[in-house]
Amino acid sequence: MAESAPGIQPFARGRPLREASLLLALSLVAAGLSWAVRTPRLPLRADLAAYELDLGFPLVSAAEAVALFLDNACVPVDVRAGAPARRIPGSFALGQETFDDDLREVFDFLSPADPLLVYGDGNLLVTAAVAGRLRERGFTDIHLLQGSLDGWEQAGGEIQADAGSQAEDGGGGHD
Amino acid sequence: MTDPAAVGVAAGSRFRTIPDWMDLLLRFLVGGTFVYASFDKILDPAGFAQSIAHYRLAPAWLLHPMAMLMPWLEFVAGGAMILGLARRGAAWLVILMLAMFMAAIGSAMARGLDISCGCFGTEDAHTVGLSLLLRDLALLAGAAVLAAARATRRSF
Repeated sequence: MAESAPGIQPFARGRPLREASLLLALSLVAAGLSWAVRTPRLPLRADLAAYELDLGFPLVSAAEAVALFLDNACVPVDVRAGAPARRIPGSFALGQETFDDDLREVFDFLSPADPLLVYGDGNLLVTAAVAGRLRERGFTDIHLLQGSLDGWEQAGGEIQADAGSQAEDGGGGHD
Repeated sequence: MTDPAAVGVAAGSRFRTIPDWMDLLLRFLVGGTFVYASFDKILDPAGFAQSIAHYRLAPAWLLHPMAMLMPWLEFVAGGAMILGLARRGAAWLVILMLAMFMAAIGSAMARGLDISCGCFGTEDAHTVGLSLLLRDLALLAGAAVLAAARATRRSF
């Protein structure tokens, strides 16, 4: 039995297109206004090279990082928030949001001369932000891991599961 | 009584009808996700541009315009969906965006890029992977239901 409630409408051909076009137009206006009032304005044409260079720290691939780790040539620094269940053995946790407190806890174990390998979940902006704060504290030898622990593990890197403490087993990067 | 044939309601149109509670739930889930996802990216288009750049898909001339337009499109489409305005158009826009996101994530996975999704802004640490694809697929299914379902409220 057909329903006769008000509001029944046959599918109006073209209506979704008109609605979508209207919403797209509204979005364009909003984006344009937002761009116009923002200071500084984002250039309309991006410099792709700048996105590769603006991190300010050298990137190392997972394979390169594993090689450094096996040579005891780096100290891993984990920037992920919370208590990740998996990390590189010997990692020191320095979260972006808890940086000052975390650094205070580990400062006795880290020297500004230590070569650091900073890693996270693959978000290089977060990794670079923490690396920047480390640089401000006097750490000068800092590399960023390109990618996450998945890439590290695929490159043969060791993973410490359910690591609740820092620098267990003496760590892999300490001499 | 309205003659279905006279108003062009096709046979089997019952499958285009969903309960009001389901309609409301889907609109808030899908639309709310998009609105929430847009906030950080609207406030930080440069950061979002960086996230897009990580995928190594967008050409230089498109990267920044996309970084500025996409968050607003998410906000407007998601908001319209929540409010029940231009619902089919909003649903179709959401479907198109999700299809694009899934294609980008799939491409990144196929190329072995170990990058963060950037779906909810620069603080989003979710790495591209199957779970993200499944999440987007679920959202796409919800949007598809909304696009196909008969409107029970007046559309704007």
